Amino acid sequence: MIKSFDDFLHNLSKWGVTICVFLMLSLTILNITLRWFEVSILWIEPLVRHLVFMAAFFGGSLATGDRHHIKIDILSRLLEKFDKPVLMEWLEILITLVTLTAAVVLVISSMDLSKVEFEYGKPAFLNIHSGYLVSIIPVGMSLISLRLFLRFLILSTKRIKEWK
Amino acid sequence: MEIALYILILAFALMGAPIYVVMTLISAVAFSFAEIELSAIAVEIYRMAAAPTLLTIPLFTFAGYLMAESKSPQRLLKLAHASLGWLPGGVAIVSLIICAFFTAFTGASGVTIIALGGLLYPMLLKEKYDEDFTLGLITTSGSLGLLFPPSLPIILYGIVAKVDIDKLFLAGIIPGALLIIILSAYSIYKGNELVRSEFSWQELKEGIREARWEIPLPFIVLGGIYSGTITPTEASAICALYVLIIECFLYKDLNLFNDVPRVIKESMSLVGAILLILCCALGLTSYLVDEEIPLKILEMMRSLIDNKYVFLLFLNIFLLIVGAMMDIFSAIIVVVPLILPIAEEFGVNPIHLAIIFLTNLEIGYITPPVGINLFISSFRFDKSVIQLYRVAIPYLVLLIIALLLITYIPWLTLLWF
Repeated sequence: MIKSFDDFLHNLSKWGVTICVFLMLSLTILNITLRWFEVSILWIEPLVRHLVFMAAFFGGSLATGDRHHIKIDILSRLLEKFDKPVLMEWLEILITLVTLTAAVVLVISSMDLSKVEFEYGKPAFLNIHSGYLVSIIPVGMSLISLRLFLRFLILSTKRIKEWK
Repeated sequence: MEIALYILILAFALMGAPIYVVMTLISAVAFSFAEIELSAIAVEIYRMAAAPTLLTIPLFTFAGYLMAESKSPQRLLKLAHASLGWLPGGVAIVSLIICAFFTAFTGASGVTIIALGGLLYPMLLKEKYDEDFTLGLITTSGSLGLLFPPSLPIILYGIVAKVDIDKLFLAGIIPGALLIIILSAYSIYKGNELVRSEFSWQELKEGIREARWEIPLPFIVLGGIYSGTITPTEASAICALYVLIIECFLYKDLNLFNDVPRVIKESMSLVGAILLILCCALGLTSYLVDEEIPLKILEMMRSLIDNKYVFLLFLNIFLLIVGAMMDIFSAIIVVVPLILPIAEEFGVNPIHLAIIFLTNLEIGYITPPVGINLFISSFRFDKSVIQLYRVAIPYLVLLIIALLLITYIPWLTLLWF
């Protein structure tokens, strides 16, 4: 069940990022084309920038699922070289927990910012309130945190079962 | 207590915690001890949504991945082989040029070695190049084109250092070509005694006919930007749309519904990883700047170094170590804001600094013990990392010679300005 929920989140991120890419591509091309006719739509550029911002979090969720995050990774390369699979699994659990902690810090700090923005912010482009735009961060980081939590559950259950 | 926490975070980094996590934890500790609200981290993250050139990162990467997934490498390889294969060392030179082209579009993310390695490795061995030369060449070529437009590290550098991306694109052309020329000269030396293939007009015409839709791509991107018709951001959209159309509808190498979502997923996974680092590092770098850390480093350096040329030598040594330890994207995001004011103080032109910085990190990709290309090649060709360390050494020496030329002859970079 945990695995299928994680797969659901993976697919959600995949389709989310696909829609973002197609939207940013089509809107930018539309903007270039309209400029030839000396027409400009002011909301396209900020909307596209926020789509990139959303794509960053969907991409971050995909990188979390595929374990493609950029890291220094000296210790695990050494463990791999010295053939210590059990130690590597424990290390992965520890790093997942550390990553989850950092992601939760980001969720909390961005939720604080969103609250302030909803209270004191104002409508931005397309009359969208700036509070909703800032909320991309806590929503995106929550998605990443959730995937990290699920991975932590999967890894630790597997490890504990093997230990028993 | 604060120092102990930093040491712990550093230990997590060495254990393999993602760089964005390391940035976030350092920012959280620094902000907490300075009694700054943690929401300041989120404020800095949101600042990224205001960067006007941000769109270039996902769209150029998407275009590069589309090309790497199609049969574009085979077509361009055939064309390059038909045009240059008759030269002494011709096949090796072809490999260098094709890899540079692909790296420029895929941002030296390891895709070049993975996508082209399988084609180039047997081809070079078949031409009787020795295995060490071949492995070293492909490993080095995996990061060779990152000084050429529209490479992702150049764009990222422009965003972080607030330098015009179009100027950086132009500045990288001659230094990038210099690296290829030096490695080509080495290939000619190594391939001089080998049997060369005959030049054939028929083969060249066939190569041009097959790659006819890919040939205009660099001209569309660069021509559009430098004629002033389009901005780099718009160039990225036109480039992505053009590649999408040619690969899906003209060559029909990729299916719009089956392959394109997969390519988007793979490319955006890299983009997400980079942008998360960028987001999380913004808080840390602005904290470091507020605390006047670059100024403190500068004061310390002034007591040791008194002229620009010694500073540049010191900078090269420092960046080679950084390049060997960190990946290029994190290094740009973390190190650039620190060295920028110092280099300015020593009178180094910011565009020249950018090219020196990127050349160093390009070399870092093949610098033992942790240059990432060494590990990618080791995995891709099933060779020991130790063998890769050995074969990379001649290339490392040649690239360092090129680096010294780029550093001490600023004209190579600043000719256009």
